[in-house]
Amino acid sequence: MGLQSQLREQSRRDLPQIGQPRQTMVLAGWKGDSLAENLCEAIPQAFQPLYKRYLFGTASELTNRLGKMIAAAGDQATPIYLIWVWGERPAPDFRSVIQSFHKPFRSVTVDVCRVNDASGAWPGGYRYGYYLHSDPAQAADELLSLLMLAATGRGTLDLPPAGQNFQLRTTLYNSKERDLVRQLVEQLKGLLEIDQALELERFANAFGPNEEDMAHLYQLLPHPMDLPIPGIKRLATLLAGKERSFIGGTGQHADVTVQDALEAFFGTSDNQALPEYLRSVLQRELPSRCRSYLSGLDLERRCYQQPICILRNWRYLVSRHKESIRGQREENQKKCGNVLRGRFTPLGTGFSALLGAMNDYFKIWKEFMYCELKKAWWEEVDKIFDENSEIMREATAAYHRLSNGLAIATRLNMGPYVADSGGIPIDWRNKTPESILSGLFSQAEFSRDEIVQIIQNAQTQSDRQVPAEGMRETWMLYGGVLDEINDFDDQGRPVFRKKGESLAFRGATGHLRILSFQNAQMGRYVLWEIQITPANEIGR
Amino acid sequence: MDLQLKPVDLQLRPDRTYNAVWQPAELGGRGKILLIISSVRLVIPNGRQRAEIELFASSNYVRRNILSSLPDGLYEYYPADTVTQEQLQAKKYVFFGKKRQITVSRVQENGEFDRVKLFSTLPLQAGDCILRYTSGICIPLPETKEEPGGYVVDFLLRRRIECTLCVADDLNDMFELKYV
Repeated sequence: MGLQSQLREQSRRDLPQIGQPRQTMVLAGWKGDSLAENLCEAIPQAFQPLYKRYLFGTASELTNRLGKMIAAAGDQATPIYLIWVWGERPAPDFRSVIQSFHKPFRSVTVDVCRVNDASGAWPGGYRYGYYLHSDPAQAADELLSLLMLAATGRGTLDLPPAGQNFQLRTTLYNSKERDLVRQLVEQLKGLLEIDQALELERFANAFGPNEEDMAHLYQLLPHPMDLPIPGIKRLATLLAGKERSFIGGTGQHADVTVQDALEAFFGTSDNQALPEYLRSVLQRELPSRCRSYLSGLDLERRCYQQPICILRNWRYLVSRHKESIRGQREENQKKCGNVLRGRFTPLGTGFSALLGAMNDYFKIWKEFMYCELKKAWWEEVDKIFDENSEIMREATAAYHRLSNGLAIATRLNMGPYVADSGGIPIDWRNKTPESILSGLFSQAEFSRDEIVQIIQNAQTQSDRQVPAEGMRETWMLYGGVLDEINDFDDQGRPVFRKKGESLAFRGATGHLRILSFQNAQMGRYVLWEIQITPANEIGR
Repeated sequence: MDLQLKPVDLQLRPDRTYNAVWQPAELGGRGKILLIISSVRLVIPNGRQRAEIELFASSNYVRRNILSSLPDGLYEYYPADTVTQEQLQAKKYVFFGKKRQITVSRVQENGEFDRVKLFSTLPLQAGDCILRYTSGICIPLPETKEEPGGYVVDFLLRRRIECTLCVADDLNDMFELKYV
């Protein structure tokens, strides 16, 4: 089933039900007329209790059936309304059928609905003939609208005398359907897209280190203060000696730099002060530490919960993050050099005084290491993405699957709506537009403004297309209270004009009438627009 | 150096015996090889000691005390070609003599710091002993200073993260740590 027909089925499944119909309704056609059979089939199941459906082999079978129905009902008999669906095989002559039943006892009304391009002459004995749309789904809605009209006792509107043919056009405005499409579009967009401005941040949130990760990783590393400290005395001696010494007779004190102090205090390895040596050892060590930490984070699962555009963009996004760290690293390198070259000025020669004077260095050491951790982190993420081509393949497949659905859903164009931002991320792995749709539910009703807007649109449409041959009638069937939708325009005049049980649009042509169907319990879920245009038989 | 050759069983032991087992087909089909032994560090410094012994292919070749002329110390050894002296396999290490103990004491000094003291009867160079953090990161310890009766290195060490003192891998046959 395509997305569109699934939507149709799903949104009509829980349309409000009409109570007991005021007449006995029969939908009939020829057995073997597959077009007619399909049309009857396409009427949503929820409405099937409204009417009886029969396929006849011969005209006498039809007469017999109607006779049996009348006999079974006895004195309780109500009028019978029969809609004959004409697909491929022309409809029978109804004169003899109708004449078989005498008026006071029972009346039978027959309307014939023929598919637009069916060939053949119209039969005799029917009341009105309707041309249906050639799209079966649309034609089924049109059949349904006739059944609804009949069921609510509105089947005999102010139409001209019997025997006339019309072009029937029905639009079923369904607030639930609209809402389902809106939800579907939102969900698909949520799975596929994200505002470009938020991409980088979203990527960092999903795959970058957070404060907790950083603190955890940093905490496990040895810090300079965790190094063996063999040179407290040596540093004190150095400081005392330098205070007294002069360089080459220039008369200037030779400063003890922070680097000198670190070398004396911690010792050296590879010609570096031990904390600097530790820094270079750690720099080499960090990638593997990040790697093992990342393996515990289940990045795969996170992939499935990100909008797919982020995954398709991962190379760019990772490189952006690496780029921003590069600048920070250069900055840190500079700062570190400055601190090391700076003068070492402890407030005493005690252990804590010496440590205190190294504080600036320790701070920059930490900043440096944080930066290195981030760098190593993003490099590992880069590798993980690179190695996981399977996820990328899945993402590409999901992208095609879901964006196709999005294109269809967007094309359905169910009117304007405000897009929700984000929503809860969902795993896109097994998602299809169809599975998403089938999981959606809606109890959305039309707002008053929406109803007015739909009616106004219908009015504009009807004004624009006044046919040459006779007047077009447009009826809007509304399940709510009419007064609810009446309104006043800028000049304080009512937008709708009350006319008996209906409201008329206060427009130039007055062809549009709004009928209330409160008794049909249609609620504010649906609004039917039924347009009947006298059909020009010439050229058909 | 062709380290691709199938490793053969060639072991020198601390008691100066050796064991050499290989088939003529191994070691590139050689009938004999040269076992080259040279000192890495001697207990009593005495220049560089070196010895070469010709070994024949055999399935069971154990000789004793053949190396008694070599003084106590750490040696490296490897098989080599008898003519070109080309090294045929990776170096191995052996310590001839009794393992030397390094005693370690660790006492609380102040706050979160301990004072750690290593005492050795032989001088230690920087990096002979290392500090290994649980993360696997190793930091070399400084060299010893001579004190009456031996050689000492001492330092302060914070207790924040766990770490262990060890002897550098290549000196494992020469030294062992003993906590007191």
